[in-house]
Amino acid sequence: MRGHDLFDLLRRGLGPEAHRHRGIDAPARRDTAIAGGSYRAPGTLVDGFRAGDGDAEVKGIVVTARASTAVLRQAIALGANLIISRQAFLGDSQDRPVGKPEPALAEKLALIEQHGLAVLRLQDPRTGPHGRSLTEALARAAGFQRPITGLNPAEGLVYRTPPLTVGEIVKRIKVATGSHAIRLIGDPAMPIRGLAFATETNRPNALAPLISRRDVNLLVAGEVHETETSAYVQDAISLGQPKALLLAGTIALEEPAAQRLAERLRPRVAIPVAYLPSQMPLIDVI
Amino acid sequence: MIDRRMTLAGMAGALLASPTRAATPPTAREVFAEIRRASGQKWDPNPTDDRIIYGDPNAPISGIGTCFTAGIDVLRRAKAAGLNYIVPHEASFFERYDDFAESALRDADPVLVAKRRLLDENRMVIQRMHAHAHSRPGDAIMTGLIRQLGWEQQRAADKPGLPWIVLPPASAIEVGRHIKSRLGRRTMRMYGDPARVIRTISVSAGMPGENLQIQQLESGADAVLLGEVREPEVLGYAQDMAERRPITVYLSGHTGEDPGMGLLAEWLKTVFPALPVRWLEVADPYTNPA
Repeated sequence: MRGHDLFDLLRRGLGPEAHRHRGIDAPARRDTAIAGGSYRAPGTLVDGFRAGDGDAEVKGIVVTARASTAVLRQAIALGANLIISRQAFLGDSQDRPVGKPEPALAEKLALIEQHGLAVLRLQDPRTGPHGRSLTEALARAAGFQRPITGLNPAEGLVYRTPPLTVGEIVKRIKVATGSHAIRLIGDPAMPIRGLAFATETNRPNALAPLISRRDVNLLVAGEVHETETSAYVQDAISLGQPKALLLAGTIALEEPAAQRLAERLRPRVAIPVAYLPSQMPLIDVI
Repeated sequence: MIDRRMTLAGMAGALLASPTRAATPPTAREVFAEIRRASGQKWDPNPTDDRIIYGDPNAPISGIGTCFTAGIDVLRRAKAAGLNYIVPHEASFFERYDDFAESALRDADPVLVAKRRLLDENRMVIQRMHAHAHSRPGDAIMTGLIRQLGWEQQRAADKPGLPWIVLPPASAIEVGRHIKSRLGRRTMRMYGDPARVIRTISVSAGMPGENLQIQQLESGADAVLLGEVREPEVLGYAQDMAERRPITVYLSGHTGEDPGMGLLAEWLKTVFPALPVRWLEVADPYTNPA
């Protein structure tokens, strides 16, 4: 099986990408971007081979939240040559080539070349049942099974919950992502009745419609623009609205989906498949 | 040589601010004109919208409040202090350029509606000061941050560009605790081994983009202090780089730019001696409950 055959197989199972709205701002390539950086505009799709040769025969597959250099080395040690990365791994939100790669990026590209690796980015929310199971993997790992219907998964997932406190969700998200360096705006003791998960968080000015919904008390996201979404939630709280925002880390957020994808793939291909955690070791200074 | 226009404008400014004129307070338009003049900078509202973004330019101004963002809490404190000319560093309506045409929120969004009502009822005016705070000599935002960190004497004089701080050797976690306490953070994330010895730190603030932040990571400093990052790109780079050379990253959050607005308030006091001027400080909005 070649890399492209595997991508076709995956796409057939996961279904087409969720519909996108036109982008609000055109995204800039990282090496031409100024302040703010190379964010991903809402209309942008990212899935595809972003490094290496997708025509090469696949010997082994590694699935990970972000294909860090450490993950690539572990993959080589396992004899795998195809790495599936949920998150951006080349220093640009869409993994576009950078004109003058900085030393660590140049070394990473050389490592990929030298060992004949191929890296497949696979993060777009997809609409088939298996595609949805990846998009919903974090929520499921945190104990939420059925999102409300009718919402575009590229815009987020919304759940009605039995009475639960914000603090209880914080605990569950820490367990599900394996990351303890989370950030919360709002009262941990506040009871919630509805919560939302952002499914694509590396983009600005896109989460306000989720947190401003009347049926959403808590928004779980990887990262936001602090001057936009964080500012909105603080103002909502100042006005007495029952709102909270939980930022769990954009890489950590993808761990359950990477795990789920590896599980799904394992019985479907006659090639070894391994999930490797990205292990972004962020700590909270105490 | 003295520029005659500057001198006349300076006299107009002094008149504006003199006690004899206190009975007729300046309008927002006059305050903004005087800020532009006193800044000595060529004023260009693009690309970050340093203009009156909300309120009546003819509103009489009773006092000035500088802040990081003009949140509802900040506006309430301004009202209590009798200040109605608000100078935030960042955007006020949850979108980078305060451009309602591009806002992802409905016009009827209750937070937007309540914020507008609070501003209207108190005849408040918002004038953003972003690029022109950064382009003040030495970058007011950076100067304010370094002063808040107590690192003015530790800044290497022979390194142009971003501040390069040389500290007596200390563990990464100790340096992290210093930053956290000086910046009044309730949370502060750190990447890297807490026991590593730190001697040099490259400092930036806010969100200058991945290019600059990656340059900092590659600058040879033992540690970098960053404001807000895109995690897969910047922390991801730190993780990839750590394969070859360990690095420590401190994430102070975007509010690391707040002390610079305190410096701006000090400057505005000299420009408007007859008006009350205050820095409306913000706290770290985040917690990390157990």
